[in-house]
Amino acid sequence: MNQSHIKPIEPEQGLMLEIAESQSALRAYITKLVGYGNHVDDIMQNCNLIIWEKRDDWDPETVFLKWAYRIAYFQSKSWIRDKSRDRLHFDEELLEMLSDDEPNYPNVSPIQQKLTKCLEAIDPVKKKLLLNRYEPNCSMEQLAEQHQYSVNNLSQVLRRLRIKLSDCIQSQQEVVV
Amino acid sequence: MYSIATGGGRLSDSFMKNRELIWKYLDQSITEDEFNELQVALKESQDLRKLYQHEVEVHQTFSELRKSDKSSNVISMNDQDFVLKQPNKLYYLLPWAAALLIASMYLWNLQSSKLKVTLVEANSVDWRGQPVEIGEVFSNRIMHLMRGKIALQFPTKTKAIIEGPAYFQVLNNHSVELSSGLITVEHDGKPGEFFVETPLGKITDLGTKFGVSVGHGTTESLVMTEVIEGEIKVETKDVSQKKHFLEGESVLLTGFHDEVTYQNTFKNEQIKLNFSLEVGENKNEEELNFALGKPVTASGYWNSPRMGEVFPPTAVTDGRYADSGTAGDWSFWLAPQHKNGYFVIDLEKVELIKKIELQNTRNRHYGDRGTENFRIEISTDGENYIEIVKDKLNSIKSWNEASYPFKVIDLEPVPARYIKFIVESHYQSTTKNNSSLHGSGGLSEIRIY
Repeated sequence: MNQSHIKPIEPEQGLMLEIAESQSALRAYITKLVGYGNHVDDIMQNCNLIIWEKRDDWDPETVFLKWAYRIAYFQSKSWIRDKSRDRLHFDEELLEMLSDDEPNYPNVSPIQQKLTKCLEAIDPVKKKLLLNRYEPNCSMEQLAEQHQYSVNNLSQVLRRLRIKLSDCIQSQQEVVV
Repeated sequence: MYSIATGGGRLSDSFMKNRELIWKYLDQSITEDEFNELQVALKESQDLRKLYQHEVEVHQTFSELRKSDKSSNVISMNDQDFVLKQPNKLYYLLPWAAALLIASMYLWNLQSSKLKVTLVEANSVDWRGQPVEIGEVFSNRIMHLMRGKIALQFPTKTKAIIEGPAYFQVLNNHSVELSSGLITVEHDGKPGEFFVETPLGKITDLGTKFGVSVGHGTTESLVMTEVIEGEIKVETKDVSQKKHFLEGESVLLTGFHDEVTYQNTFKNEQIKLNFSLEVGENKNEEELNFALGKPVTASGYWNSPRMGEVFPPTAVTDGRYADSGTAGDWSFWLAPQHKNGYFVIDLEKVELIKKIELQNTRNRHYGDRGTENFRIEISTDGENYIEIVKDKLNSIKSWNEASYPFKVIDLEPVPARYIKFIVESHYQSTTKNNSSLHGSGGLSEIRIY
C-alpha cells in the first residue's frame, strides 16, 4: 500500500473521535456518581465543554477515558455541591471509592448486544413493559395506569426483570472470559 | 466483574436486598433511610460497588437501546404492536398465508383437541356423578367433588389441587372453570398460559403459585384469590378493571357476572386463605365413623349469609377438617357471638360407641373462637341424657392442617343414638382490641366409633 495516499488524522479529529466514542462510558460514570436523571445531561454537557476547552492538556499517549473520568468526577462533585440540595447524594468518601473503581471499557456496545440477546428470552409483554419504562417523559404513574398495576407492584416487577436481565448479561460475560 | 455467587454459592439475602436498593436508587424511588443503608453497604463492599457499576451500565444501555429502536423502522410504541414505517413486501401474499395458517390450525386442532389433563393424586375423595380414577384423563364434563382433595396435571406444566366440595370443569389443556370450591395452582410453564375461570372473572397465572376460592353469599358470588408466589392477572367483564397482583397479595371479588367489585380486605382484615399445596396421603378408614353425614341440630349458630359467613352445626359431621371451605360452605360450626352453645347428633339408630374424636376450631386465620371446656352427654331416646365425658380442648395455634389435632377419647362401650356436645367455656380473640367482642364456642369435626 502506498502510504502517501493515506490522509493522516488531524489531532483535533482524533480528539473528537475519542470524545464521541467515550460518551456512553462517561454518561455511565457520571450516573454512577450522581444517580439517574436529567441532571446527568447537564453534567455531561459541562464535561464536554471542559474537555474541549482543555483539550491541549490531554496527552494523546495516555488513555483518553481516564483523563475524561477525572473531569467528570470533579464536575459531578461540583454539581452535588451546588445543585443537589433536594436530592439524596453519595458522600465524599463513597464518591472517591466509586471514582477509584473506574471502568475500563471503550463503549457499551458489547453490553448492548448481550442485552438484546437476553431480551429475546423475556416474555414479549414484559419486554414491552420494560422498554416502555425508558420512553422519554414516561412516569411510573402513567405506566402503572396503562398496564393495570399499582405503582409499587410495577416497580417490583420492573426491578425483578432488570435484575434477571443483568444476571443474563453477566453470565454471558463470564462465559466469554 | 462482580461475583454473582456469594455466601457458599447462594445469593445472600442482604446481597439481594442491596441489589433491590440499587435499582430503587436508579429509579429515583428510594427513601432516605434506604439510601443511607445503600451508601453504607457500598462503602463496605467492593463487590457491591462493582455490581452497582454493572447495573448502571445495564440501566444506561436500556435507554440507548430504546433510542436506537426509535431511530429504526419503528414509528410508535403503545399497547398495540410496533408500527412499521414501510409496508412489508409480502403484504399481498398475506391473505393466502392467513388462509393456509387457518387451515393448518384446523387440521392440527382436529388431531390434538383431545384433553390431556390427568388425575394424578386423590385423598379421601367422594365424587358425585361419574368418578375419575387416578391415572385417568378428564373429559369436559362438569365434575362434582363432594369431599376430599385431588391433584390434576395439565400438559402446560401446571398442577392444580382442588379441594371439595367443589364444582369444576376442565375447559381445555390450559384452563379450568371453578364454579365453587378451592383450587391451588402451581404453574412451571410459560407465564400467562394457564388460567382459572370463575363466576366473576378470569385469573391468569403469570408466575408460579396462586389459589382461588369460589363461594357464595345470599345473592352474590364471592371469589377470593391469593398469590402464594409470583404474579397473577385478574380480569373481569369490565376490561378497565384488569389488575395485577404479586406475591403475598390477595383480593376479594364480589358481585354478579357483569357488576364486580374489588376489595382488599374482608371484615376489615387482609384476606387470607388456607390453600392446599399437597393432596396428602389417602387414609383408608378402617373404622366406621358413625357420625359421618348424620343430621345435627344446635342451640344456634353464627349466621351472616350475605357474605357467606354461615357456620351451621351440620359442618361437624361433614368429614371436612381444619376450618376448610369457601364462603357459604365452611366446614366448621360456630356458636353465635359470645355464646358457648351446644349441638346434638342423631346417629339415626342406637350404636355401641367406644371412642369419640374431636377437632377444635379457631375460625380460620381470625383465631378468635373455639371450645375450651366441654362435656358430652348421650341418650338413646333423645330425652334422657347421661354425662360420659367432661374435658378440655386446647386452642388451635395456627391455620394449617398440621395444627389441628384430633383429641381421642376412649370409652367403655356404651349404647347411644343421640350425642350432645355442650360447650362450657370458649376461646376468644387475644389480639384484637377489646377482646370480649370476639369469641364463641365451636368445633371443626366430631368422629364417633
